[in-house]
Amino acid sequence: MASRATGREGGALPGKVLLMLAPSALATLSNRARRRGRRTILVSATNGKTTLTAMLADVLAATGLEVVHNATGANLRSGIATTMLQAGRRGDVAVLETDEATLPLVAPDLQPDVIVLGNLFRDQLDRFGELEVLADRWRETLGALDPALVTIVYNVDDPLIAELVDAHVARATAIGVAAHVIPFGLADASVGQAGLPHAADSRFCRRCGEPLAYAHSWVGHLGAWTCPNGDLVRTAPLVAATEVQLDGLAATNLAIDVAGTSIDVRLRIPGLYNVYNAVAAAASAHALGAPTALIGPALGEASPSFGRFERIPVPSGGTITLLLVKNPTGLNEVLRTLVDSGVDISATLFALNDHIADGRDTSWIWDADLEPFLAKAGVVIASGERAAEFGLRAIYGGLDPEGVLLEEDLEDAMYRVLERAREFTEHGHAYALVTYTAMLKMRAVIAQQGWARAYWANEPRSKSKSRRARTKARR
Amino acid sequence: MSSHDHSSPAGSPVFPGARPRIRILHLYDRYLNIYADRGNIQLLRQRAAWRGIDVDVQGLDPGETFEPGEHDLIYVGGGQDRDQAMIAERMSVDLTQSIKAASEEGTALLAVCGGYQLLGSHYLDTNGVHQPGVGLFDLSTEASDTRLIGNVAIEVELPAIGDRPAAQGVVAGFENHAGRTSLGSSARPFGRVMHGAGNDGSSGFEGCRLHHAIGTYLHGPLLPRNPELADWLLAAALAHAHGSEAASLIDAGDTIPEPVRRLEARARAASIARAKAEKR
Repeated sequence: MASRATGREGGALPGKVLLMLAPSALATLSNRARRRGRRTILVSATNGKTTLTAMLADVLAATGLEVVHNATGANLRSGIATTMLQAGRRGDVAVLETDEATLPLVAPDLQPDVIVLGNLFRDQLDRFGELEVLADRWRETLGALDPALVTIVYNVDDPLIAELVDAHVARATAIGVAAHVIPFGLADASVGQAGLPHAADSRFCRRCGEPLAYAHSWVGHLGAWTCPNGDLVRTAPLVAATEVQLDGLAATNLAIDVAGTSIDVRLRIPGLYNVYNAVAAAASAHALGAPTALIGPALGEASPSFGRFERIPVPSGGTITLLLVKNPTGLNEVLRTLVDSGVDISATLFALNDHIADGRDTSWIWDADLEPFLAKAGVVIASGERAAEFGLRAIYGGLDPEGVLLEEDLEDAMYRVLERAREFTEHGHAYALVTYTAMLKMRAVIAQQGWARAYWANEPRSKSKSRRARTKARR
Repeated sequence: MSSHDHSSPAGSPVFPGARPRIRILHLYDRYLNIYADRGNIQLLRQRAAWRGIDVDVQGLDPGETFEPGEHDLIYVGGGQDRDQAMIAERMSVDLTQSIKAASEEGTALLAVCGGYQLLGSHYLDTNGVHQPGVGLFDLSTEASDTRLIGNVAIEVELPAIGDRPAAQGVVAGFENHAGRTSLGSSARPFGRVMHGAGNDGSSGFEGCRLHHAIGTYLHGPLLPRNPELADWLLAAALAHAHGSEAASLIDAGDTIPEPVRRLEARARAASIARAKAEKR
């Protein structure tokens, strides 16, 4: 069981020790591998970085590359060092999920060939201080890299990111270098919303301070934005989802335009926010020269990462689906996907913990739009160390006070939600919205019961093998 | 400590059969709205509804003004530095007179985090920008390069309003601020820090209170965990709307659902326990 102290550093001990003994080890390991031709990709984002990194690793593996990947989600400096240490000089490409605040700390040592910037949302302000501080650090990170040697794959629908990449391009131009950038985004207005949701974090142009105008928004402040003064321009994405058809919780059908070639993907991970992950993975694979024809089928093979819409069958019949939530926008998207899919959500629990990896400040649950979910669910089991806080949020969001079932212990809550699923739903499907440490704990109970593989098991990078192993574990 | 003299004599009594009504003004709601400010408003609305009190909530955009006395409770939320810097100047130019006059004639006010800073004389922010303040509270704030972040518990005393007696208690919340706030000689703190940093991490003071106006760094959101404070604010608003004898309408009957009371007690206990256990 991963403890509070390890948090998101799970599986990072060897790297931690190494960095203590040799602070420059990251650069040494990276240089050694580079001389043998291994390329490095750093993937960072507030939301979706685990899923995106896994998708990209899958796609690259499908093109025949040997991929080094921090699959356990150990995305801090120590976790990245562990992955590098264990890989040695092996591998054609290292695909490294990188924590947002860690990116500035590791990029100078790793000298990445590609940096993927997915999105920036308000998340764990108790750790980062303010969102714009993080954006400024990313800007400095790009500024310290040689623009001739790095390709930036970035989400052009996120004005915070578009602005800092724009500055990167301008800086390169000023020194006579053409920066390598690949903008990706969405291009299907039919799945957009008019205006911005309450939790939108970036409403103003960072250049002139004017409110940005949105033709529509797709996820939080990701959208088709323009600065009314023209101080910042959203470039057309080079890789874009041109047609998106959400098919409930089962899948999403999409057409992705990859630099002029259209590919069809049936993505088996639900939610519009995962369309962004698929498009980002396609753009990143394109940046590494992957054949376009192989990208679609590989994305179609991608399956959810641990705790991210991960559906686990239980022996008594039915399933429990784990949904990791950790910030207002992420929660909004998970709830929207759940509610819009039309599934029966009579059996749901929400487990709220407040350790460092969860965010110590629980106020974020008030900034998300829970109301449509609460209205549909009618009853919610409140669990975790700050369960009562969630209970109040639910009631003040319109849930009948008797509709909050307080069950602070996670294991009890899990059994109770399964019981409700058996009793009140046709197919016995239960849904568990869980913060990070609550997810680890619940996943540990599930593994103990033998319903699914343990969270910390290292995922083999050969996909066909790992998929068989996973299928077996679920039976 | 008695503040009956700040209850508006202009308030209209509640006629038999009529429902009392509270008018809330949410200042710059589209700019100052992080850390669950929305939760505080939702709570005021719902808690009043449980007591049969109607609530109107009105937003205000930069550039707009309001007449003192038009509202019974003013709410000012928090923002990130950039959002806050953008509206500070507007607020001090457009609203200084109205906010001071409203508070003087008994309007209740709650300002959280950034909103609290803007009600002092000025805020020198993390980018070195001098943000002018409204000067309702005798205090000033300067950003430091470290932030004060964590759970907080403070001891507060809420004064009597009309017949409604004064009360003492513990208020729990979460703080996250770079600003260090110094109270001037005429300012009275909202509370004394039991666990956490408070205004500056050293004085032992948290927030500021003047008449029925409270400024504080505590979010979380503040009111759902601290229902006594919410009721005090609603009582002050009722006194402003309908005369000081209306303050106790907020305590009438046992109308808060039992599950809510249980959850409030659990939520606050968990919050205080965290504040106590955190190492600083």
